[in-house]
Amino acid sequence: MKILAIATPLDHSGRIDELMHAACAAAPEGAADIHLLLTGEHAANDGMCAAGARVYRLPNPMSGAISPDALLDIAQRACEILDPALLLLSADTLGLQLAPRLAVRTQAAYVSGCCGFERTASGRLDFVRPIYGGRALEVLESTAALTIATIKPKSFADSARRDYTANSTVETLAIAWPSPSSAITRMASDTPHGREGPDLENARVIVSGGRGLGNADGYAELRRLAHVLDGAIGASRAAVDAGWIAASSQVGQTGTSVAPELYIAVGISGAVQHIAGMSASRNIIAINTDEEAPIFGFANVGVVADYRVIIPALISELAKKTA
Amino acid sequence: MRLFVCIKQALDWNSSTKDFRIDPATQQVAVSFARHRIDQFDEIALQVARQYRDRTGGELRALTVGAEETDDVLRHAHAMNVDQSTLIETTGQQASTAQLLAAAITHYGGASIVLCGRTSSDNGTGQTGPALAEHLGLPFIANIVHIEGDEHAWLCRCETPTGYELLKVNSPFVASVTNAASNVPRAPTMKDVMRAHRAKIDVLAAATLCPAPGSGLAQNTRVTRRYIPETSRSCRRFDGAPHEQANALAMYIRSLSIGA
Repeated sequence: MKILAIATPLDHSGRIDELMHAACAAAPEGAADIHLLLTGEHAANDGMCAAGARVYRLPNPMSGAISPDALLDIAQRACEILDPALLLLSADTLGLQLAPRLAVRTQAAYVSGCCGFERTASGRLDFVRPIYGGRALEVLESTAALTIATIKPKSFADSARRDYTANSTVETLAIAWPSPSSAITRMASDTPHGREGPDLENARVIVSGGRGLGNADGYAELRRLAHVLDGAIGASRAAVDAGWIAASSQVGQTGTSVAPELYIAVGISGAVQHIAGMSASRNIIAINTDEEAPIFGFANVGVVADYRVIIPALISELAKKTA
Repeated sequence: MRLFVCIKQALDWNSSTKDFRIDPATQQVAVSFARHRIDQFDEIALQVARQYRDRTGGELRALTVGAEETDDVLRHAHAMNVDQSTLIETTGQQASTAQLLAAAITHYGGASIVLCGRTSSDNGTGQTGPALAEHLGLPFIANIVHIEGDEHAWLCRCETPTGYELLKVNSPFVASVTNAASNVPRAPTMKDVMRAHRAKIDVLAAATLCPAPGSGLAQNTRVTRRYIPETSRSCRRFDGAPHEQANALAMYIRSLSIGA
């Protein structure tokens, strides 16, 4: 089975590793035919070597700007030239918009946010993906000659690598970069998010508050705890809707999806909307006055208590250790 | 100026997680609380469209694809002040959602702007907006939070992985919308809801719009199984006086060696 992964300029080295791990996971035992198209200034990395991929380079002659339309044309040409059975892209902002458009153009099957593969008894490759914000999984069969899958970040990060002896070779592919679309012009770029403290998505600790805080002042207590733990501040949708904190701090299905080492949910009941965005956290502490709150079903550790009492006490306990 | 917003019905995600399960027979979600409402992502798209229409003018139409009972979401769209709405009524398996939406938009003479939610809360593929752009032959812009400007000189503020960027767009376009402080959906008033109740909903038959659907995204995959992975954690409760609870929590946090 011929597998083509396309790395967009947004894909950093870690993401390319993941694409290669996914390609190895999808390839039938001993019959890997893995190709990798680099469309940015990517350096060679472990993943592509381990996968024994044939690597093609196509650096963008226009410095800086990434035009999704140009990448779409390139991906289509690459499919025509290489004729893969499976095409992989990262499930990020760019991949998630390119893949469905490419699937329509090439009459392919599309699997969004693929997080695993299953091989049936008859040897067919099926695709696993999360639905309902990660509360459930579905397994899809492709009925098209080409299947395009976007790979959910972190899903293949720890996959066991196969030990391929072949080294990657780097070639060029005869595709010209299309001229940028005249319909869309970038006027100003990247004013940063107005988020507080460490970046929510990459924070190792998140202290998050919900409607149970009672009012906006509750976040002052949470900020003190976040400061001690060098963490970021999060919020449930209820707290954002109540106007207590900026929408950029919202964790959940309509906000940011997070997976920190430690997530401390304070006064958060555990609506599906919220759970969907934080259930991948490695350790979860729930602090809530309602012992029936569903959040306790998702937490490793729970305390039924008033946060106004517990959090100051916890801060001083933590201070004792560092003192 | 013709503005379209594509919306769908979903489970009410502010409901409790307790009863969420998959019925093994139907492979569908079975929830005892099962309350349906407009998808939360689409509601944000409606809010952005309405803010733009209120400032700049134009006609705003909500579109949805589904069976007859799906028209509830269009009532909600009317309560959020859309001018017109259309139910693309399906009977069984037909063309893909993007194909049907494209056919309906073409039926109404084409669009200036088409907005969709960033993704959906059930299937969560995020494929309808980009696929729709492809079917209409229009550019696609991801994660818009705000639109200004006039026809063929639109300014779109978009969320990027690291912040925001401003794009100038001089052709009709399809965009997905993401949430920001500026576009939190405004809850309809009682008066809005009453008016929405009397609003006229247009109906287009899917079979007439796309008589020969051919190959669309919907036809190329088949669900073989759905299940809930074993992820539930056994929650350890720390009881006792507040200082005992705080002490236990501190011990637990230290045991994680996060390196604070």
